Amino acid sequence: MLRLAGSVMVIAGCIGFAAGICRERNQRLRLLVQIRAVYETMKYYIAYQKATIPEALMHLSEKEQEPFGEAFEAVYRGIYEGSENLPAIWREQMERALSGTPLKEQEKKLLYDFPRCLGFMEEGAQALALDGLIREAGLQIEQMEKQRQEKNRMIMSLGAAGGVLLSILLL
Amino acid sequence: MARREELTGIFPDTMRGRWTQAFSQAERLQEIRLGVGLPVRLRFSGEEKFLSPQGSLSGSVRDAWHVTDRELDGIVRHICRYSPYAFENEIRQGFLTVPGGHRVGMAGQVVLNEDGTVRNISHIRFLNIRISHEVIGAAEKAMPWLYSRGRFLNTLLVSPPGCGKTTMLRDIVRQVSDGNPCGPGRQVGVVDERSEIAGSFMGIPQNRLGIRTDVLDGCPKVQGMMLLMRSMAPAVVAVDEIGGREDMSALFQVLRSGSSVVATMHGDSMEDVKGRINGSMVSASSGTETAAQGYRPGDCFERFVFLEKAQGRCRIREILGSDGRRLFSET
Repeated sequence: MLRLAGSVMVIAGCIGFAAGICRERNQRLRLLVQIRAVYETMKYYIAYQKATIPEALMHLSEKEQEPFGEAFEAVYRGIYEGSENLPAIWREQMERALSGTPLKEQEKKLLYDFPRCLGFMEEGAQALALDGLIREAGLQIEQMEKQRQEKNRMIMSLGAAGGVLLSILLL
Repeated sequence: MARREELTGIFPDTMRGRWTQAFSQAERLQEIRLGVGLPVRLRFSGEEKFLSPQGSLSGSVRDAWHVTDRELDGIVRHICRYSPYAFENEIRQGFLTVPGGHRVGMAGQVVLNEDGTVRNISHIRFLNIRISHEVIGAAEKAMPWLYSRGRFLNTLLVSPPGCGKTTMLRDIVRQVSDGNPCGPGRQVGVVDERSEIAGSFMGIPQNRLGIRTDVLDGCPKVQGMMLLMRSMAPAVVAVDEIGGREDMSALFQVLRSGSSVVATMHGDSMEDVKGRINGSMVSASSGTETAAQGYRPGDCFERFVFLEKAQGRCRIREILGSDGRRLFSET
């Protein structure tokens, strides 16, 4: 009886572990969608309101949920009140905001690269420059969504099978 | 914000260390000139110094810091808050104002529109940072002569460039707005076409202009005066550097509506003023201002404050009444 209970717990543990991996993947997808939405909103502020980047960040900080809301506000304050360099403070705040997230380095680069696309003299051109990042985020989202169901099913199956195998070995 | 911090904030943090010594004399600093491949020059009340890459000041150009194009681009990006597109109009006019009211003049390669007007400056290669020095009390000696029974008189400040017209105008605005021993506080409207009076940054005046002052920043004088009259009901309207035909027409409209005016004009004598006023009105005479032909300065202004610079100091040469009678002189 104890062995049976142990086996069930091992299998449940392995399934839980697999579910954790799937949840992490979903969270990554959610963050990528959030990053794309941030850039799209920023593009609106630039193209239609001709807001400066710090002003756009201030507006975004009021709308965005964590992990970005506080980071955007810190960047805004750093530039307006502390006269800090945008590339430096952006990197610092984004690293802090993304530190606890499951995003991979390549996905984090979508945010880190933002200061590189700044400096255009005309709002239309500046908004277009953001399109590159929006497109890149879109591609990564599309790829993840395409693979999501398939990979999640595979991870769950492997988790369950692994649990069964482990319990057989332990019996 | 302290002046030293304001000035340090103009530069990206990678360069700030170099300015420590220069900005320790911020009160004497008048101008910083930067150009790609050129030595960094600073003008301190009359004397010129060069800044070395280590941050020391010297009179010799040999050890001076020669700014690279990347460094200058970095400064421009930082000044524009990494959003040059948002300052397109200011850059087109050749200057923008930074926190503290300091003005950054820009020059470089100009891009023209098809009609020959300036579209933008594509490669900014020269910067002239003019340090704002607000002189509280600059108009102290003039104020008693600018009031009659508590009413602020229409006043014209006249001098050649660099004699403190704008500084005095700014202090007059502040004193009229806050109130002073000669009269109670009045609602003042400032049309600050070149952002020199208020030194606004993102629409917020960086200089003290009083509690009852509204500022239209970056707005052409003619439209600005009409807009203020319609929307803000000022008792006194302040404008800098009048002289054009349209400026004078707008000024007359303000006077007709019952508001007082305080303005500045380039010139050195009453003859200059007469020439500019009448010149502008004569040229307007072909249009709607025929009746105004042959206008005398005293018909539109009640006080003329002539300024001059002597021994490096700006002072009031004389204050004349509308009849040309001398009322006051500092000389």
